[in-house]
Amino acid sequence: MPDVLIAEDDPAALHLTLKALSIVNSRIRPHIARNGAEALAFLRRQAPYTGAPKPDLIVLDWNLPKVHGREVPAVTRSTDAIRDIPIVVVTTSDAEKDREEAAHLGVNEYVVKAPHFRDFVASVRDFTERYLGTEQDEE
Amino acid sequence: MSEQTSGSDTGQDALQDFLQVVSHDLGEPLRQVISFGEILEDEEHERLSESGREYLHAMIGAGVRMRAMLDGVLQLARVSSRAQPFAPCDLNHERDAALLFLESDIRRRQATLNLSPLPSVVGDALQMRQLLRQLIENAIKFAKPGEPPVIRIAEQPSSDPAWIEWVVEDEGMGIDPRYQQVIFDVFQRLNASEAYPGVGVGLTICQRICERHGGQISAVGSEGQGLCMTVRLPQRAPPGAG
Repeated sequence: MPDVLIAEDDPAALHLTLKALSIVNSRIRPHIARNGAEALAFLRRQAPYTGAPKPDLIVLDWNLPKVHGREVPAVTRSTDAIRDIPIVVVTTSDAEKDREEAAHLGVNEYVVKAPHFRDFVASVRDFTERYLGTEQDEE
Repeated sequence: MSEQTSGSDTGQDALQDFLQVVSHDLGEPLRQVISFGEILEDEEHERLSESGREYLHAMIGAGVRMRAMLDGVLQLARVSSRAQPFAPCDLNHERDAALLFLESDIRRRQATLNLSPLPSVVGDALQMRQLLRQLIENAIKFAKPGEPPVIRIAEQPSSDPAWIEWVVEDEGMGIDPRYQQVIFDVFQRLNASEAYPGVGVGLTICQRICERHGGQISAVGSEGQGLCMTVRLPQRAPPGAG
């Protein structure tokens, strides 16, 4: 079962992302970080995440409180044990400077959330299949 | 041609930052309204009464419309926030690029295009292309129902050599002459039917682009008699423009 770390502070946005993930792959095991600091603690297996698995994918909101989303790829790409985890930024902002910064920091994909849910689900299906394979692949 | 000062750069950066905040901070809750509405419509369809389904459908529609309006406001603001410095610009090249973008619409509607050579201007080439594209797109969109659009794009003699004029003229539905000015107002739609999608910012963007170049745009037409959009631009942009 693929472990996916979702770093998202907005509860309603998190609900939609979890729903989309459950639609595209019912075997995904989601782990939630409500801010950048929690995401980094999870990845570093710091308390209360000492038993946390290494995620197969990180789904990251860019504008996170406490520690900004940019710190997640910065830390991940500079830490040997977790360097290879794919990171997908999922955000409403299509700011060119955010895209450029994300690419520079080693983010694999930058996905702008579509206004229609079915389009959002399609984009989530697209990147989960790319980084996790299909449900059939896992069987 | 104008040089950007560091002060105006700061202003542009501030505007750009503000637009991103508007886009993100208003866009996300709006996306949630639309998305949860769509989930409700899909998953609770059977449990909703007929009027409940109608209300929900209207709510989602309003959210989608507001999203389009928000995008329209952002596009409008980007006329200045994403403006490029002025440079010599061949309007024939920009017209051809605009036509290439609209190629599938032109083919689908079997539009006839009568093209004459256009002049060159000193301006923002991308905005000239956007201006031409918007005017041609409107001419296609507002053709008479069931009739292929006929569109003429040509330079027009100008009485003052310091100015150039060109037109995008169609034989479409036209407009009541009383609305010749109103159509440039933001969110003005003379035909709100679902057959004519849009939120009414296209011509406002055209007007802003012309104003940024020190020029004007005007519409002349009557109902059922087509519309002639005239763009009048200075050969060289006035100091401070751009």
